[in-house]
Amino acid sequence: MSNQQTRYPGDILIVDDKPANLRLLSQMLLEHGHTVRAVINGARALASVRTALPDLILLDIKMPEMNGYEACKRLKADPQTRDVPVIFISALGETEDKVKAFTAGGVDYITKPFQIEEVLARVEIHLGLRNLQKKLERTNEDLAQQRDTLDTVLCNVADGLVFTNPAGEIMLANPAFGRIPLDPPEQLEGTALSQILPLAELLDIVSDALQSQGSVHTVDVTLPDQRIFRASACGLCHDGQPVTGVVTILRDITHDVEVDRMKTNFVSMVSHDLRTPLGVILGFTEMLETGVYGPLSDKQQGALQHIVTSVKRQLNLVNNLLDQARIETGQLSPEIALFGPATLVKETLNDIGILAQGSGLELSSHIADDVPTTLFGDRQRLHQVLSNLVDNAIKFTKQGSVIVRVYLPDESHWALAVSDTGPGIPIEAQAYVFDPFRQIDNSITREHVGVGLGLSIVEQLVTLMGGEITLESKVGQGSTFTVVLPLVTQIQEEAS
Amino acid sequence: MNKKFALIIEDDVGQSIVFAEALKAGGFETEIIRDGQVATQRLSAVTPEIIVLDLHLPHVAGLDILRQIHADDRLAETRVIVATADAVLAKELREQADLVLVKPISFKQLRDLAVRMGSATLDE
Repeated sequence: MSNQQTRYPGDILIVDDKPANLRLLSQMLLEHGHTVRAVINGARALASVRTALPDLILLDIKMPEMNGYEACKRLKADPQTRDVPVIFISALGETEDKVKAFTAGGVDYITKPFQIEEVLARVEIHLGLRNLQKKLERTNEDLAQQRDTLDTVLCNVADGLVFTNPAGEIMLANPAFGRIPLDPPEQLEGTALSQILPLAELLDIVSDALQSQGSVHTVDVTLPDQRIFRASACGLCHDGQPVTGVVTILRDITHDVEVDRMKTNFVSMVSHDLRTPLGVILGFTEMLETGVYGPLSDKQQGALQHIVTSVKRQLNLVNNLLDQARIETGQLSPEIALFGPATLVKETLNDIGILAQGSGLELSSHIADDVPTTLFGDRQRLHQVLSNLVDNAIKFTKQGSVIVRVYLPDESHWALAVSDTGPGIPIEAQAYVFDPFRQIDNSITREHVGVGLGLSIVEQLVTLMGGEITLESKVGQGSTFTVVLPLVTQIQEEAS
Repeated sequence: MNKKFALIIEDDVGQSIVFAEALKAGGFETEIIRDGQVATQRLSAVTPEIIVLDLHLPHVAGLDILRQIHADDRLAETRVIVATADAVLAKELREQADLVLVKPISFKQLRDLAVRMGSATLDE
């Protein structure tokens, strides 16, 4: 007899009315690492099985009260116990008996007298199969659970989600998607997306996504009932295979668009209402200055200069707010015309230079010799960029100097640099110095009141003009903001 | 010889005075109207050389007045200077007005302009 331990130690129930058989089988199975229960008739077998399910039953046929066939039939009739494999062990050797045993639900049949090796081998096989079966059941349960989770997630996602095959037919859609069409069909699956949502822009990005795996294509679409959805389509690929379909997510952004519109309107209106009185102040100041209301003394002229400068600063702030709103809604585009860089710098410094007066701050400019006298660019935006940078430099520099330099860093670019001898900006703050509505530190904020839009606007305007802004600064050593823009000295005639 | 006539349609009192002073410096006789509806009526009676038109008016929108001016053959020679605080609108209106000025409008700039326009019309 082999002493090899079993690979599948199991809880085995032996049912036999002869104590000698029970003892022999028990001992043999115990020796091979199994757990054994032994009972002497069918009724006790059923009771034992119901207490705790064994992994396998070795069942004798001829027993008093309830024979093996009957016991097996009852086990197989009960859903709780029917999966436990039953091997019949009997002295009945006729084919008819075996067939009866298999009909009753047995998985195997061993005739007495048995060879111990054969019993062990068959037990091993059936425990192995049972083991495999249990594993499959567990995997199936896991899969069902995963599917349930996925279903729950899909059902509860607020955005509409739809998966279409390369032919554009819906393979899968969540309930949120089903609520998007005004008149949804009863069965979404199998219907063409173009039939349910006949929106050209949407169908375009879905077919674009089909051509390019991985990249996301996005478009905003408006339904006939004025709801606005942001659609993002992504082609699905599997293991490097070509795109097998497209997943499209549709998010209702009607409310966001409305809020955006209201915000833009609000900012535009406020800016308009702020600009009008400033324009009037400026107008009257100029009238006084030019003597419309009679000659002025030098002191009066000086006072007017201060009024003009303050109003221009205020205008700059309002313009920043207005531009921020326009940039956010994509309404701002540069207006390219010929301008003189030297004049630009001179005018800007004239406008706000008075701020530095009396503070001991030296304000100067230097235009490199190789800078062309005229360039193409958006003069007004450049003025705004430079005003913001110089204004900022003056605001944060108590003493020393603010220098504006114009030079050519290379053949195809020109640069506008504003350097100051201010406190400098700590490394960790340099990362967010261009974020809107942010100032570098609260102690400074209290001292220098501002909305924190200046540098953010500057960066956005520079980007809009195709340029780049960089900051070089060290605490205690001042800051230099450098704007590098494409050098355009002539505008090429568009081929007609 | 009579002075050239400029009509200023602008609801903001201060702004309208600035416009008027700039035009006066250019040798124009000026009249200020602060309401869109009144402006519409007045325009059917007078033939100004210059109209300064604010687009942000009570009762009748500036754009409607601009349309009325274009539709009236009698006003074909009238130069229209549109004043607006809306830079986007200003860009759209370039074709429809002789000049579009974006607020804030410099007094000196408008005065210089008025001086040039005044002498130009006198030369004709």
